[in-house]
Amino acid sequence: MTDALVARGVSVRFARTEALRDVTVEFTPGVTGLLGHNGAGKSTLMGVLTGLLRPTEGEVVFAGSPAAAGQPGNAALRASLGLLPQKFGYFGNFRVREFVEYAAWLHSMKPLSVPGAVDRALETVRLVDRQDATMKSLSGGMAQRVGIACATVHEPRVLVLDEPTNGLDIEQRDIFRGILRDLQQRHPQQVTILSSHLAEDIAAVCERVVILQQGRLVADAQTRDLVGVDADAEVSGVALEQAYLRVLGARA
Amino acid sequence: MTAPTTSVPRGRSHVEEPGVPAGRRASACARQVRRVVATEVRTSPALLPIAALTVIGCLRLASADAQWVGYWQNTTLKVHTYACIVIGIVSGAIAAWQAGRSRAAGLHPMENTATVDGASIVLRAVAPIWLLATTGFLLVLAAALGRSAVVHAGTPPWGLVVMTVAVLGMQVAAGAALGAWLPRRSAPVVTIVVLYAGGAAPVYVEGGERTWGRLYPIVQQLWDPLMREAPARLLTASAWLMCVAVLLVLVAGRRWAGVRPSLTSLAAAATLAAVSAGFVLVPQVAPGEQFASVRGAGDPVACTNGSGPTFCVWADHADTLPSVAGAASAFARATDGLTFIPTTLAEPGVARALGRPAVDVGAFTAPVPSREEALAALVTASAPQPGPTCIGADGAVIGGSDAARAIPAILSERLGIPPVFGADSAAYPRLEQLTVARQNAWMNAAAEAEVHCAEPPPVPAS
Repeated sequence: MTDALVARGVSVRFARTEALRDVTVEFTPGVTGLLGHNGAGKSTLMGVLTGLLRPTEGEVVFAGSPAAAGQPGNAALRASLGLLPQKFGYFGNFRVREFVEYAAWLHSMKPLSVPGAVDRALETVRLVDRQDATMKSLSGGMAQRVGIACATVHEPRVLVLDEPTNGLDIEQRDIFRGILRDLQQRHPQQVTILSSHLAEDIAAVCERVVILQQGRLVADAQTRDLVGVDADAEVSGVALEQAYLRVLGARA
Repeated sequence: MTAPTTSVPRGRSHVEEPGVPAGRRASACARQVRRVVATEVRTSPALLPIAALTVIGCLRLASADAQWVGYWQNTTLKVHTYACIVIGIVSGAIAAWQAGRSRAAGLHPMENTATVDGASIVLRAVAPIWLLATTGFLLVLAAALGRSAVVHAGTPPWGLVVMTVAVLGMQVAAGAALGAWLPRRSAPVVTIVVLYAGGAAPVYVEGGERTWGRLYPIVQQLWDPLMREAPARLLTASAWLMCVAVLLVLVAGRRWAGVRPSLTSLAAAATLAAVSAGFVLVPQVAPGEQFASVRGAGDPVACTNGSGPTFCVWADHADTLPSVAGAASAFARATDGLTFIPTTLAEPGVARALGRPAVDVGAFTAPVPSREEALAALVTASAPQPGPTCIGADGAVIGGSDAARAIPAILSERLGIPPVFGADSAAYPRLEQLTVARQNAWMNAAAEAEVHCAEPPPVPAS
């Protein structure tokens, strides 16, 4: 049984607004970028995939079981899920290490494995030297890195990152991409979904791109195929941005 | 077809730890609990307020008047009232604030996709407040009982201590439930109003003491030494309070949409609470005896065995006896030759347990009375009283003559203590002029007359 996370015919309506319309997409091991303008439906799809939102129509399936909010497979999905929400919140008085331990506790980790897992998570996000700092003393970029540590401390099989580089400076975004590449190398079977409206971030780490426009799925392709480059060539952010605009233009 | 949930392999963190010795697992678990508690206590908004209330409580109770000092159960009652009305309500308000911390910090998405349920999340946020409140209560109690221990050896009424801790738990849980469901800014205020009004309600509602007052038990009274705590009723109330606390935490946990506690667990907790409420409310008890009972024949007593009248007290007041025995010896010497002095004196209610007649000396103002207070009690108890048949046609007591009132004054003079009463009797100055032997003769005759509803003989001329 694969660890695929599938949205099948998912629609979400809020009052008169249709945030998602008949979206079917399968997220498999590897890093998949979710690209779209503001309001394209990325966060709504993230909400549905993580069980935070119940789809008006359609279903979410994880490892073969219906896993939307309230469905039998939802508990299994939650046990395998790491989430960095768009607005990452934290308790300001907690120390960095304490807050990652809080995330470990939320995921019911075995007490014996917590110290080592927290050490590894802090090493991955390069914050070992700041583990005794309080959360409120961190910069925005560092706080986001703690968010990744929290989302990955239990070594989830599905990692969902919703606009993680929003508001970060160039250096922090670069660090973030490096962290994501490290994670993927260490856990190649992990299903990672990275939502962003920054093509540069997607191009740097995602081998596959899903594009949403006004709640509809408009593209689902390998990044290189979408941009039109060889397998050995690097995908630049600019190239992906042009491809993205081309897709949206073609749809318009 | 829907695959069963259990067939889905879980993340590495959830893998069982085969081969790890149980001891190592237990010690890791204890270490994690310690770390969670340390983190939550260190960051708890309750830390400073409860520390301040503890210091205030220690100062206030350590400097209060002596009416209750020394009686261990009354000292505990004073601290219990302070803990429930001040520490508990403040803790409830802080719990209301703390229960909203996830929403305020924007942690709901992370928590709603976690595996622990909402009730555990609430419990983690507010349990340290209960821990701090309990610590504060116990510190104030230790300070107050330390003062009691100086004057009187005893043990705390443990049932009351346990019930106080349970009341604090219920107050914190009520704050958590309100805080989870109300806007964060208004929740603490609403909690204070609800908890205070709930505590005050029995005073204003007819029969409230025996209903609501047993369900939200803040005992705002002192118990007579004749009373002792009723552990069964106190522990039943504690069990009820803990059931309600669990129910309230589950109600609070329902606020976490993704990981809300099941309706089944909620129904189970509600059933348990209803059953325990029945155990609290069904037994009929006299007013004022919700959590205490009058001592009876089966309770142990202790008596002096020196010269003079025998003095008996409840066994847990036995450390009264050495000072009373000294006073009784002096009293015996001063009353040598008097026939009306009772042979057995006792604390209120002790006569029933003794199974023989004993004159009630009333309650001392302190558990270990001074020599003067003990002598005054002996004099008062020895004053001749009209006999049981001395009731007139109109129901009034016959006797209590002015002359007989001089007897306690004379005895006080012999003992060298201020007159207990009777110094204003017209017979007193004339009695003072007589020799001891003639005083005794007159007092014996006067006491005999008093018992038989007759006027005492005139005081002879000196």
